[in-house]
Amino acid sequence: MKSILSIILACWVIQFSYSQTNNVNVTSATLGMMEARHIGPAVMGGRITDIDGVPSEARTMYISTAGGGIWKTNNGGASFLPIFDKYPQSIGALAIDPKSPNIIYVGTGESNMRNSVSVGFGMYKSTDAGENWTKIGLDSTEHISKVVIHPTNSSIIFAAAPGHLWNDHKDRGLYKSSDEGKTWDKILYVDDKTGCADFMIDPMHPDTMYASMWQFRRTPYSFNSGGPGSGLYKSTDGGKNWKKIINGLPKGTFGRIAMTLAPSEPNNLLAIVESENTGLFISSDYGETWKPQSSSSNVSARPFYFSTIQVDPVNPKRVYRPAFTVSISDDGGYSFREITNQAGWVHSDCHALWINPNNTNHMYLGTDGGVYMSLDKGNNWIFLNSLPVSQFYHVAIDQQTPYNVYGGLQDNGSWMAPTSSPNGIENKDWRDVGFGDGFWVQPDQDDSNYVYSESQGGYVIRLNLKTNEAANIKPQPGPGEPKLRFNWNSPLVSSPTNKKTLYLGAQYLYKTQDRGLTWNKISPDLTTDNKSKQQQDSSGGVTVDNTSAENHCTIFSIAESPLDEKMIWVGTDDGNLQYTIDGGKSWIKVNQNVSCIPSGTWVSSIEPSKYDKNTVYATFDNHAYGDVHTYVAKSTDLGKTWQCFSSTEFKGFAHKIKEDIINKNLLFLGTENGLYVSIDGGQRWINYNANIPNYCLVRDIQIHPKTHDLVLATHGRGILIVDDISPLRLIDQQLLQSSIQILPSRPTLNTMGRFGAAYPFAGGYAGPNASEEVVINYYLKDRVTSGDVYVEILDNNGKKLMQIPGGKRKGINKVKWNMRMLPPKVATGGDGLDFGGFTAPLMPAGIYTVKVTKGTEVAYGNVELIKDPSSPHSEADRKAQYETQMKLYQMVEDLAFVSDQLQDQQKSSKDVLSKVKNLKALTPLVNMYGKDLEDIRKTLLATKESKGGITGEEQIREKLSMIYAAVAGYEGRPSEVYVQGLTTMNKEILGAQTKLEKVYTTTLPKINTELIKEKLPALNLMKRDDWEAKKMKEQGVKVVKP
Amino acid sequence: MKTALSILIFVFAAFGSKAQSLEEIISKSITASGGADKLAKLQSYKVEGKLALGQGMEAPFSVEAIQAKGARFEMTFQGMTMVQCIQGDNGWGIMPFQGKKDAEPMTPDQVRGMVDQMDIQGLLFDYTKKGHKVDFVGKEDLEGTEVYKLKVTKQNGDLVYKYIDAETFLELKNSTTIKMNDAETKNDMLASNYKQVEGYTLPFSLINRNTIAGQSFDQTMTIEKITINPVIDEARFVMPVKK
Repeated sequence: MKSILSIILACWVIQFSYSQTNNVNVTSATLGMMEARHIGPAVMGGRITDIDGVPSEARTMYISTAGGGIWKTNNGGASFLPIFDKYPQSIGALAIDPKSPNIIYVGTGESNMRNSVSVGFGMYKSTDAGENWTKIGLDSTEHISKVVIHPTNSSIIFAAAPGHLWNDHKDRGLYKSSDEGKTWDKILYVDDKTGCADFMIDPMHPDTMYASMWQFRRTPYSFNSGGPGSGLYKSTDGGKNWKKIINGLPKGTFGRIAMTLAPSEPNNLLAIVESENTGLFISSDYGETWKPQSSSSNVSARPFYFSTIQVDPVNPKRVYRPAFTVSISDDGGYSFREITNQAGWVHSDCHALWINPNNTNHMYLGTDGGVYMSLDKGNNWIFLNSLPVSQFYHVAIDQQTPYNVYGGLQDNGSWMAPTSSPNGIENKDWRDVGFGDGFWVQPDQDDSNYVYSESQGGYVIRLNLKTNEAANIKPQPGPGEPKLRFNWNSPLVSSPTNKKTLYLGAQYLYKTQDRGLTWNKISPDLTTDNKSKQQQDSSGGVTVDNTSAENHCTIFSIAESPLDEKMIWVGTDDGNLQYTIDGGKSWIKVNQNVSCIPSGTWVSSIEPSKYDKNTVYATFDNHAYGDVHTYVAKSTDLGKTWQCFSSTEFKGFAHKIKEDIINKNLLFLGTENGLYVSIDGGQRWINYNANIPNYCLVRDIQIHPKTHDLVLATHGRGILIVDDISPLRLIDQQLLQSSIQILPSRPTLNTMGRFGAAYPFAGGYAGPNASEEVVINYYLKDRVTSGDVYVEILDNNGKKLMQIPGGKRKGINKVKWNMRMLPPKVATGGDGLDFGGFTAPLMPAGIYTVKVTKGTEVAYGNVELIKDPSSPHSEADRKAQYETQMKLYQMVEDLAFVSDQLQDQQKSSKDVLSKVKNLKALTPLVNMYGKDLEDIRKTLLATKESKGGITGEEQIREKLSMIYAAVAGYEGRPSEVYVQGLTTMNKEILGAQTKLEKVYTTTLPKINTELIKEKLPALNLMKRDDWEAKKMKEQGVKVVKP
Repeated sequence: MKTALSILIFVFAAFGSKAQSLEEIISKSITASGGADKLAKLQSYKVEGKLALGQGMEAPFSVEAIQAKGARFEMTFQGMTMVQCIQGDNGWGIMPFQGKKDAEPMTPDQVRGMVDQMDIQGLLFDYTKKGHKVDFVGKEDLEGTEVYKLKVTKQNGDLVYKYIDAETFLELKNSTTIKMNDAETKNDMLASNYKQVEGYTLPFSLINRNTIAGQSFDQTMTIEKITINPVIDEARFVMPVKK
């Protein structure tokens, strides 16, 4: 008979029920449990756009974010859960119905109109506190700044839509619904360039309402806040008629207006009016007339970006102005001071504030770096460090074990972190390696002590991780050279072929091979160098705002061919796509050949194939011209001709395409609104939403060459990792039509775990580690509703080591095996649980067979346990450990048998008393027998009843389990102390057995003599074989004997 | 520890959702699980099986319940038996694993979290009489399977979502939100391996899923035997007096 192993080796995967029928489509369900883990960070958050609390229960809060969806807390911020993962992740505003707080309206599309702002897809509604959502219209508005529910009639909802940022569009203005969001009327509209930026209702006279209209526009190279469309409006008839308010406001053109009123005295209004002299204005007559008021720079700061001002719900004189920091007034806005921050730094750039109306000392603040809570009226703030909504632009990886991720964050600098750590990847594991707005970060491929990071406008630093010294290595123009133009998000890229090479793009391509000491310019100006698009000094509109965010005619993407160091591809933000095959001496422009892409479109990423030098993929992003179409293309002839990919699944402008490193037909695409995967070279695509938000903002993608992890930089959910994508590489029609099939997984390090921790994780955020256990992958064509699915692990003799319940979902299932056999059966009948019963021996490295059973179908595969190359233990030491633990395992079970046999005698001897006639003869015998056995039993295991306390009693079981657990819990040679302990315990067990033998050979025969007299069957001692058989039946597992 | 016992409600709760109309889905679901007549006749049950404890370890368990009167859960591990029991508005438990062998009363919140265990006919059967409200939420994808999602607002205000297979009308998932200590806790239960027992269609495999900080932890219960309408002594639901 062939051994099972030989069958497995001959045929690694056996398929069942495979028949050539109609094609099975790959869907998101096929991905099954190929889910992402979210490693954070939450040490700094991302941009918060709105905060709303339930007044009647002020620990229930909804946090709206710029790119991470909506998060809810029911405990005041101790923990958060995302509640909007199937929907657009950029949130403009949220409103809770004050009368029924389970009813929530959400306007998607943030309205802090910075260059990197994302877009939304309209209004959504929940009637069950965020559990379920329905789309309710305004689909094309792209940005919604405010949602307001009428204070006395909850059927009436208002939505203020600034509308499209990058193009003219009529779907903007102030909207009203009178039927709980079913239908919408536009009730205030200026023109297709002007939207509604702010809106409020007088709570005491709800027909009185105010709206600020804003004319604004971005181009790829400029921003304009302000124009004739901007203005402040008032209605006194519920929004039917509007008049423009001008009395007391400055002359000239307005930009964005932020406004508020005092809820307790609503005749008092405040407005920050962006104009040539941006300032604060106060009205005390319901907005009819206004007076200018002097204000600090923070109050009038960056009006297009800081659009929040708020009055305390109870005290009409207390005003808050969140901007760069938070300014507070106690005299209705006459004077402001800034918060003291005695409790520590509060992240700059504040956009949202929620004040608990029932306790106005209690408030929440939303910044570009997350959420803070104050309990002292905003004087001091506590950072809520469990909200992982950080906004990455790019991600890089290194080759360490575990590998690190590196990336830059919007307004939060540059960071690195390990991808596994004790207790998970906690906030403390993240190390900052750069400042400013962070974008590209590259580890030095040749020396892990160095990291390069880049902040806005090409500021590159080289950080020494040992000394924490940072050297600024930004290239400078040479003599007679024009000013260097760096994109806000300038590409800083490592070579895939030469560990010493780093590239940086300005309008020229730079290369260094000496850690940035010298940069070689290896290209001419690769952009269109259009001077009319280089007037950033005057960008901003009514207020100048030149932060390098509008820098244009710059290089945006760089990629060296993995097959040829001299072949380098470069894309620019003004539409050029070029490559060199001679290391930069000559350049060939090919963007004109990509017929499906409008001219001038940003080249957002380039992916030269690792399989063929002539093949290249690219993504293009035209959203800065108001076009959010997903542009992805492939060329197989060095850019002469292009095939454009399209899919009805696609949503959002494209950021990144990534070719798999093993299967050339497996492609990943990251867009502003989701991750997509294709298994057939780009012909068909599906939305990759396995624990990844459907509309996730995926900016960058890496695949780790050793772990085969898919690593995602998301702009709102931090770093996401799909561990070991090996199973995805095998998805084809043959697999899809299989009823059940085992899929490969990467070899697992044969360790007891490198990331255990004695002290539990206590708050903050901890991203899960990669599994240290064996992950068994199998595919199921359909969900299993009848029959069971279970996974068995067999050793190389075909003996079953363990059986694990299997998942039953459609698509790829995952089951984990801890590389151990079953724990031993322990002596029972004592006080409390025995630790030895939870400790199982680690199996040695090698190949193990996996058998998956689904009803009557069976599939075989195998998994490999490999030695940890970093382990300090010799082969001999590990062998000694294995053998010693197995001896102890056997002793634990020996003791269990002795104890069970004893208790069986106690019970059965007592039971016979009810059956005998001559109680007088038997009762003393049985009592003596029972007592003698009990005296011995008390030496086998701790029996003193603790009643929940700690007796500290140690008998043979407790001492033996301690030794067993110590040996089985350490991978190296067992301490001599425990080897000696083994001998001692052996003696103790033998000693107890000897005493038992004496009782069994003296008293038991006397009992049996009496029983025979009564024609009753004699009492027999339980046999070890029977005990073993019963144990195996209970466990359903054959245990390997040492 | 409410989890283990709460799984069992699932056994007889295979109803409902809305394809064409809410009532139609509920009706089809009741039919799929055996029919209204059968459910009305269901007055008690005993369920026996094994609970997977991880590392390949299993513990035998049983549940005995009488409709609207009481339910008792037992699980044995390392020779010790834990008990959880509710009767009417009261509940008690024995947790021997740390050496405590006396019965201790449950808190009112714990009892509230377990009252469904006494409704062995299922929440949707005669739900109006029981004072529950049921809403149709919509058709959804549950891990690749089309399901109808129903929201049950129980008489006590607690929420239960039920996910009904759009093809078989069997219940695939049950999500509860229970207020414990004035804070919401959520729990999912997934059902599979449906089999016929005396005219009832019942799941013989249940997965209890708890999600903590985005990570799911599954516990599988494999049911080996279900006895319909056994005689159960109500005295088994009474809290033992301290020795």
